[in-house]
Amino acid sequence: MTVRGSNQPGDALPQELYLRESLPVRVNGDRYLLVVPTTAFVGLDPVGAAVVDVLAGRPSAGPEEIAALVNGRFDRPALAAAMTELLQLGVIAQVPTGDPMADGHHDGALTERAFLAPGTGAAVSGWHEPMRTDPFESRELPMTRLTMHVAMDCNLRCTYCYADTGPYGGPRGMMCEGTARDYVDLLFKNSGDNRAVNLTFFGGEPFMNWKTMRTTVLYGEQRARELGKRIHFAVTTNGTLLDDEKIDFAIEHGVQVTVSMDGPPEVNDRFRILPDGAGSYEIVVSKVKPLLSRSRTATRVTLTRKTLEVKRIVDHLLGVGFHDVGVGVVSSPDSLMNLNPEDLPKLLAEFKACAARYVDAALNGGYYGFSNMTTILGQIHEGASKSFGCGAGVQMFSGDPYGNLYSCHRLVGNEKYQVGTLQGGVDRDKQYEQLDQVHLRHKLECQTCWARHLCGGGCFYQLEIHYDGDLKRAYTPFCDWIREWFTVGLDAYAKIMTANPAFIDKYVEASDASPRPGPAVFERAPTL
Amino acid sequence: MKHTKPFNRKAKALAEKNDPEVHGLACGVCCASFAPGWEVGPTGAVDPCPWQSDLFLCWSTCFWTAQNPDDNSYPGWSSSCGNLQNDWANLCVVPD
Repeated sequence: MTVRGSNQPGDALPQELYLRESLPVRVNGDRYLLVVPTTAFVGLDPVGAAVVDVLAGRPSAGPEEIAALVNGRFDRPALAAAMTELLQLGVIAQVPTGDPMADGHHDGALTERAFLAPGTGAAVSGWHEPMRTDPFESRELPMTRLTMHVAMDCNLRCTYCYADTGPYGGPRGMMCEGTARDYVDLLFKNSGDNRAVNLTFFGGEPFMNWKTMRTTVLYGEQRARELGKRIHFAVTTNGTLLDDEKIDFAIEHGVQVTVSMDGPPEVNDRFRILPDGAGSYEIVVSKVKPLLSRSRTATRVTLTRKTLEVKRIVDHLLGVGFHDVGVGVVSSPDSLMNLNPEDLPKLLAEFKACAARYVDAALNGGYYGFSNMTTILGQIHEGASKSFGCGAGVQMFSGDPYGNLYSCHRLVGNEKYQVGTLQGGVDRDKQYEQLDQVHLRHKLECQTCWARHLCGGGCFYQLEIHYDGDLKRAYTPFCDWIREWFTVGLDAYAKIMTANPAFIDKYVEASDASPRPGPAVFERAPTL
Repeated sequence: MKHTKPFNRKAKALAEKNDPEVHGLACGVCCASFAPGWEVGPTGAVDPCPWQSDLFLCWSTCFWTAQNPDDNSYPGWSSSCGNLQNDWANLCVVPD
């Protein structure tokens, strides 16, 4: 098919065109489209928008018909050029000619579809295009990220803790230095052609096992030098055990520290408590302050239905001196803390308030450290099409002190999610079986959702605790919320990319809030 | 590009690609229409769909409609079939 260089409708353009499934985005009168199957985000001038509008109103049309329907508003060479560009960008496509039942048409590009006309209640228009269902690639995926549970114990007693305050339902224990070294070797050995690997210290409270952490960093650096690779370290901590020695070490060795805090004292101390029941706010802030003055540090907030004042929490923690504040929602076995559907509008309103503040800062050359926004902008900017909720069990694994490897750091101790051992390495059969189960293509509710390739369909942990581990289901209570939040993200992305694209280069691309996945973590859209 | 602007990386990758793919419209498979054959009437009662629904259901996705179990009598009958093209064989068979 030759389409480039054509300047007349019908001249070298396909006979019949259709609009692919796409979400219209309008910002300040400007037109944009998210093309659902590919996650491409495209801006349209009035000519391009006119072509899209014509095709959004009918199953298909030929170039001549489109020109007629545009009704003289634009000249034909301009329309032909716009159609050529839209074809190139995969916004529109050619209707196949010939017998659709003939051999060769059942190759995966042809799937059942439904035309989504505007006004039918669909947020999107164009032809719904379910994902191709090629078998999951069974080559050995490299391991690029290992979460190491160096301490299966904690000095806090947060009441919502999914780790049961450290031991994940098992015995409390510490990882010995030898085991940690073996994990470093396992990570490098399985890293394939990747030049960099990531090691996260996790728990429990990792700094309870400072000796192992320290020697592991030194050993990891030594092995990286010997192998000509890079290793990045991170730690998620409650901050209570930080002191000058640990802060100096973290800064010297580039260990990225994320501190768990929930906000102002009255919010934080509601759930994040010491064994004697006292709140942890004062001690955490006093221990963390020296780090904040020397290093850009992030904090991670756990929201419950009783602590939904996101804007106030974010503002407070930025005021404490954190550079980034990331917010997550509790998934607690205690249903009184979990959010209910009626809490979600409030949560969304709070997120929108933070997003507005974020965009305002970005357009004025500043940065408002609401890292949920940075993360979503990074994802939209990349345009990756996810087939999994996250990288767990794909390239990211978690190791416990006893030499067991799990696909998800939240499900350590649960045999169902054990996908190998320190000695035997990754059990590839079990890994692929699990990934095949959790793959987006099985999730019925996701097949018609425009956000499916941005969302990936939810995570192991949600499915385990809410749906008894049925990995083929989608976790649906948050679906409307997720779509709304991606809409906010697309709107912000359009505004920032139009008025201040340098912001994306400076803050979003460089952000550690959203580690860029390796190519295999998120499968590329099959129809790139 | 004059009339469109690729914003994100994926769009830019497509803009630089030289061989735009051709994608086909569906050839219909009957079971693409997941209508249960029942509808909720104005009184709230569940009635069989009128014969017109055969025409309606045929108009785009399929050239004739298929009989499908209703979800009330057979909950989850299609839950093991996330994607028709691949998983159609997993559709439950229900008693007549």
